[in-house]
Amino acid sequence: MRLGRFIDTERCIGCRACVAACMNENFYIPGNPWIFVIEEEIGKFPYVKRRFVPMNCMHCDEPACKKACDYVGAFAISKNEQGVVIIDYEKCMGCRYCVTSCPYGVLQYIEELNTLFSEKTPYDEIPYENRHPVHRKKINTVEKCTFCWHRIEKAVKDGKTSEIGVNPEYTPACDIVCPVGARVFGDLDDPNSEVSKRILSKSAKRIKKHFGTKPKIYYTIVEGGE
Amino acid sequence: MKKVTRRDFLKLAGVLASASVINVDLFAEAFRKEKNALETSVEYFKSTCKMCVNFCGINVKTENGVLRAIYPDEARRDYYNIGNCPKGISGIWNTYNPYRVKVPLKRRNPNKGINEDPQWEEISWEEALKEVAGRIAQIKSDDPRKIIWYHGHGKYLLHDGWMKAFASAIGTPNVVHRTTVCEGAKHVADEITWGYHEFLPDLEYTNYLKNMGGNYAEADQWARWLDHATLDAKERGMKLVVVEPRLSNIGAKADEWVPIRPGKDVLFLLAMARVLIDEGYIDKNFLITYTNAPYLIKGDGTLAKDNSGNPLVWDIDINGPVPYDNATNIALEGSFNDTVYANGEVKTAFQVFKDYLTTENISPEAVAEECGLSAEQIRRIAIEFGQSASIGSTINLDGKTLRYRPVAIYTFRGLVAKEYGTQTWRAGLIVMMLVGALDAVGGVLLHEPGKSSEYMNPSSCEYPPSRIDLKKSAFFPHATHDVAQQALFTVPEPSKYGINYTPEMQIFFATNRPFSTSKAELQLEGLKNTYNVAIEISMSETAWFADIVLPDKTYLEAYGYYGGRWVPHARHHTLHYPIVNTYNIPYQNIEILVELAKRAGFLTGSGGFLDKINAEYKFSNPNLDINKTDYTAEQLMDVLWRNKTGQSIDEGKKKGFGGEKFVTVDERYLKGVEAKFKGAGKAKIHFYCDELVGTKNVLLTKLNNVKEVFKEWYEVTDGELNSLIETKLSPLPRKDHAYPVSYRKSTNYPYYLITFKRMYRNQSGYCNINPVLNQVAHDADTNHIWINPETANALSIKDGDAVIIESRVGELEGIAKLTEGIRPDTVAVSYHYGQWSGGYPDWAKKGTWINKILEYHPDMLSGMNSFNDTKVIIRKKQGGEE
Amino acid sequence: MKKLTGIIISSVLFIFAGCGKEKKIYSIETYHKIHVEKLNIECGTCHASEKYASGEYYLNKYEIENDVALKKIPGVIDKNACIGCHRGGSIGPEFYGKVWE
Repeated sequence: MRLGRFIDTERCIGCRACVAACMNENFYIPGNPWIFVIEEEIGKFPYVKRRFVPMNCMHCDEPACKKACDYVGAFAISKNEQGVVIIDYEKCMGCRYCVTSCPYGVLQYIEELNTLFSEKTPYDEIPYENRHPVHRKKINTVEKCTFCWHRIEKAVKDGKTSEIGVNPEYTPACDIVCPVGARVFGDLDDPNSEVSKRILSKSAKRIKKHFGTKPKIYYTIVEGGE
Repeated sequence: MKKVTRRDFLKLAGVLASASVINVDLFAEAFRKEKNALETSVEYFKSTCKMCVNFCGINVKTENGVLRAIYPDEARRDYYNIGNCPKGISGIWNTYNPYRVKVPLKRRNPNKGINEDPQWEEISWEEALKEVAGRIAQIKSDDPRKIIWYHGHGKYLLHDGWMKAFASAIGTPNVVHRTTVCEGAKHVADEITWGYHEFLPDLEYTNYLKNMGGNYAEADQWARWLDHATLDAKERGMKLVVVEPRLSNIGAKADEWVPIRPGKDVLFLLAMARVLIDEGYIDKNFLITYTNAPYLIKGDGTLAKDNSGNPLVWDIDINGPVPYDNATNIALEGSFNDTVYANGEVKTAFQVFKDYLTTENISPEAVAEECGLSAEQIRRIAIEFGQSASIGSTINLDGKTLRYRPVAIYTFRGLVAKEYGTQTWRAGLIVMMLVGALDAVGGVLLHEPGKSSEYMNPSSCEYPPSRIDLKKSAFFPHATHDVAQQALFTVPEPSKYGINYTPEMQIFFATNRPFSTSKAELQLEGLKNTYNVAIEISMSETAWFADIVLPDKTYLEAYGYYGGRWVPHARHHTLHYPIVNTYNIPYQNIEILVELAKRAGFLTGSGGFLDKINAEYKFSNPNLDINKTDYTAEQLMDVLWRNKTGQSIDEGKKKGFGGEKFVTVDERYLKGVEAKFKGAGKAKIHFYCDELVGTKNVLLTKLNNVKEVFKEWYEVTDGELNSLIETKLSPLPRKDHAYPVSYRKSTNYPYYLITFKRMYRNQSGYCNINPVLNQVAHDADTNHIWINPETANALSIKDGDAVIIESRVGELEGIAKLTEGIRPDTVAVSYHYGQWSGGYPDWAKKGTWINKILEYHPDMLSGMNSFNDTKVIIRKKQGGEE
Repeated sequence: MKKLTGIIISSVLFIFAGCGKEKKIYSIETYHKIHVEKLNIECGTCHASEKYASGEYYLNKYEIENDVALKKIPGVIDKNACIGCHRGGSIGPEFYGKVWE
C-alpha cells in the first residue's frame, strides 16, 4: 500500500478549510502549520488567473528528510508500510537537517509549545497520555504532516485498510472537510482506488520532480510538475 | 580560496542531475511508541454550523467532553454541503475563547465613545436582568416605540420569529435586521418583479452561468452549495463567466473574467438586452404568456386598462385592445392608438423598453468605454448567452415536458450594494426574461414566486414613518427588508425624518451593526444618548457602547433553529443544540428574552411574549402554554421543531437536521412561474414595473415631507427632485442608473472603491478573535488595499507600502496589495477588518476600517446601503504623516 | 514567526563562535558553518533572491518572506542550489534522488 493524494487545483477555491482542519486535528502550534495554501497570480490584467495550491508533506517514496536524519545518525524519521513518513519526537534531536533538506518546506521546528491563546483552553489541556504519539509534541523537535496517521492507523488496526480514503474515520482530516471535493486520498498502488483513477483521468502531476524524492501528492495543472 | 558562485553551483547541479544512485531505507520500522489508550470516550454530535448563514451540517467530535474537532456531516451531503469552510471548522475557537464575555457587565462611565473606557463592572445575572427588564417595563409603559431591537447574526442563530414576538409583546415596531447591508436590493428587485425573493441557478442543467457580483467561493449565502455545484457543472461542460471589477475566488474559477468598471453593470445588461433583441434571441412565447411585456403602456407610463381596470394588450387578430385574459393573438411589439378605451397612444411594455434602448443608443459599442470593456466582448457574451439559451426547446424529465433554457445570471452583494442596486438587478431579470430563463430547466429557479403579490403593488409611501429605519416609508417606498444602516442615523434626530418619538433604548443581539456599514463613526453617534444593551459573545464595538452587556452562549453551547438553505433538488430544516458549556453561562439568548419578559411583566397571558410566539409562528401542534413561566430553550425549540418537522427535539438532535425531502420534478419546475403566472387568469411577472409608476405618483404627493432628506442623500436641488424621483422609480432600468451620486459629484476622486467579503471574517462579528481564522492563510488576519500594479506604479506605491485612501467622507491608512486581479481604475478593500474594541487583543484589531469612509446614498427603492459607490484618492503615505 | 529564520539570523551572528558543542547535532549553525566557513560558498549562492517566485511551491514561503528580520540577510533560499551537491554520488550527503520517469 502506498498512500497518496490527488489535489484538484481546478476545483480548489482557496478557502483553507484543509488548513483549519489540520490545525484542529493535529494540535497546531502557532506558526507551525502542517499544511498551507500557496496563492499564485498568473498573467496580466485583464488576462489574469489565480491559482491555489495546498501544500503539505508529500510523503515521498524517497524522502530527503529521512536521508538527512539518517545521515546525522538520529534515525527519527521513518517510512512505514503504508508509505507514511513520520517523525519520532523521542528520537528527534532538533538538528533541523531535515528542515533544510526538504524541497517542499514542510517541516516545522518546535521552538516553543505555544497554544492558540496565551490562556489554555480545555482543548490544550487534553493530557499527553490521551493523545496519539504523533500529537505528543516536544520542544526542540521537528513536526510535520503525518497523513493523519492516527486515523490511518485505526484503519490498519480495524483491518479496514480498504476503507482508507473512503470512510471519513480512516481518512486525513484535510481531505474530508474540503467543501468542493478537491481532495482525494487513498492507495496509489491500487489502480481501482478513487485517487488512482482521478490522477489518471486528470493527468495529475507531482511537484518538483527534479529533486528525485518521488512525492506522493498529485496536482492538476501545476507548472513545474513532471 | 575562490568563492563558489551561484553560477558554478547550478552548473554542478546540471552535471550531476542524472548520475545519482539511490539507496533509501524504504521500509524503516514504523513509528510505534504506543503505550496508553488513545482517545478515551470519543463522542460525535451531528449539528448545524452557525459561523455564517449557510447552516452547513457539521459533525462535532469531543474527547472526554472536550471539543476536539469539527468535520462535515456526511448525511447532509445530499441536501446541502459536502464539506465545511475554515470558519465552520474553526468554530471551536469561538467557543473556547478567553476573549468572550463571560459574565454580565455594567458600564460605569456614562460617556460613550471610541476612546472612552466603559469602566466595566461585573454584576450578577439577577442584577443585570432586573435592570434591563426595569428599563424595558418603564419605557414600554410610556411609549414602547422608543425601544429598538437589532439583530443581525442573531436572526440566524435562533430564527427571527422569537425576536419579532418579543418586540411585538413590548409593542414596538422597531425590529431591525441587516439585509440592506448585504443583498437587500436584490430581494427587492425580485419582489417587485415576481413577488418574492431568492433564486438559484439550476446548476444540474445550466450550460452558461454569468455571475455578476456573487462572491460564493469566499462568502455569500448558499456559498457551500453553489461552490461545489458550480464546479460540478463546469466539469459537465458549463461555461462560467464572472463579471466583476475584482477577481474574486469564484472569478478565479471562471472560464472568462470580465472586469467591468464598478457600477456599470446596468449598462452591460442593457446592451446585452439590445443584442438579444436585435439578433432575435427572444423567447416571445415566454414574454407573452408569463410576463407583462405585452401590456399596453400609456404615455404617462401607467398601464392602459379597460373600463373594469383590466390591463390591456393588443390583439393582432382583431387589431385592437383587449384585456389580456380575452386576447387570442397577443402582440409583443408595437405602438398603437387605443380608441376603444380612450387610452390614446399606447405601446407594449416591450416596445417601450426596445424604444428606450434604441433612442438612447444603448449597444455594446456605445457602452463599452463606460463599462471599461471591449464592445466585442460584451456583444460576444450576449450572443453566447442567447445561443446557449436554446430558446424554444424543451426537455423531458420524469415524463414531463418542460421549458429548457440552460442559461442563468446570478448575483449578490457585489452588483446590488449600490444606490441603484435594485434597478441594476432588474436589468438582469429582464435579460433572463428575454430568453425565458426564469423557472426553466437550467435557468434560474425562483423561490416561491408570486407568494406575496403585495410586493408587486405600488407603495403607500407611509409618512410619517412608523419605524426608525424608515422601512416602507416615503423615504424607502419598497424597502420590504429592514433598512439596517438607517436606524442609527435616525436615532439622534428622529424629527428630521418625521418621527414623533425619541428612541431611548437600543438592544443589540449578535450584531455589530454600526461597525459594519457606511459612515461607521457617524453610526456610533446614534448610540451615545440611548440606554444600550448588547447580547453578545464578545466585546464588539457595539458592545463597547453598551450600558449592559449580557453574555451569550455560542452555537456549540446553545439551541438554535433555522430553515436549511433550499437548493433546487432538496429542502430541510436545521438544528443545533448544546454540546459543551465552556464558561458555565446560565442562559442562552432566547432564555434571556424569557427572563427579561418575565421580570418586565409581559411573559405570560394574552398578548404576552409566549402568546406572541404562538401567533408569530402560527404554532398548532403543539403550541406554547402562555401561562408557563419557566420555559427553557430546549422546551421552546422542541415546540418549534415539532411544528416545523413533526419530530421531537430529541429526534432532531440525533441528526442536527430534519423535515428533509427531495423535491419532485413537478415541485421543482411546475409550482412556481408555471403555476402562478402562466397564461390567462393569472398575474404576470413584471417585465415592466408599473407599480413603481404608481409609487412615484404617491410619493410626489408627499415630496414636501421628504425632500430635505432627499436633497442631502442625493445632493440635488429643489428643481432636480422630480427628475430624481423619475429616475429612482423608473419602471424599467435606465442608463442613468449607472451614475450614482458619488460618481457624479466626486470629480476629484479618480478611483472607484469597492468593498467585499472575505471567507475569514464575513457574516459573524466575532471572527476577528478566532486565532485559527487569523492564521489560516498568510494574509487572513488583516485586509489590504487592492491596487493594480499599473496604478501603483504611477503612484510610486510598492506592494506592502502604507497608503492613504481618502474619500469625500474621510481618509484612513491601509497597506497596499498589488494585484493584477483588479481594474487599474478601481481599488478594493474587504469591509470587516480594523476592529478597535478595548475587549480585543491587538492581533484581532488589524486592518483598515474601510466603512468609515464609505459615502451614504441609499437605494431609494430598497434602502440598500451604498457600499460600492464611493470614489477615492490613493497616495503613498509619506514619512512623518500621521 | 521566530523559529527557523530567527535561528538563521543567530547563526549569522554566531557562526564563528562555534555552536552545537553540547551534543552531536547538526544545527542550522553547523549548516552555515559547513557551507560558508568550510566550503566557502557565497551567501547569494543559496540565498538567491529576496522573495520566492510566484509559482514557488514551498509551504513556509509566506512565513519566511514576511519575516522582517529576513530582509536583513541575503534572502530566501533557492533549494535548487542544493541539488548539485546533495544528489547521490556528489560531494555532499545524499538527500535527493534520481529524476524518475
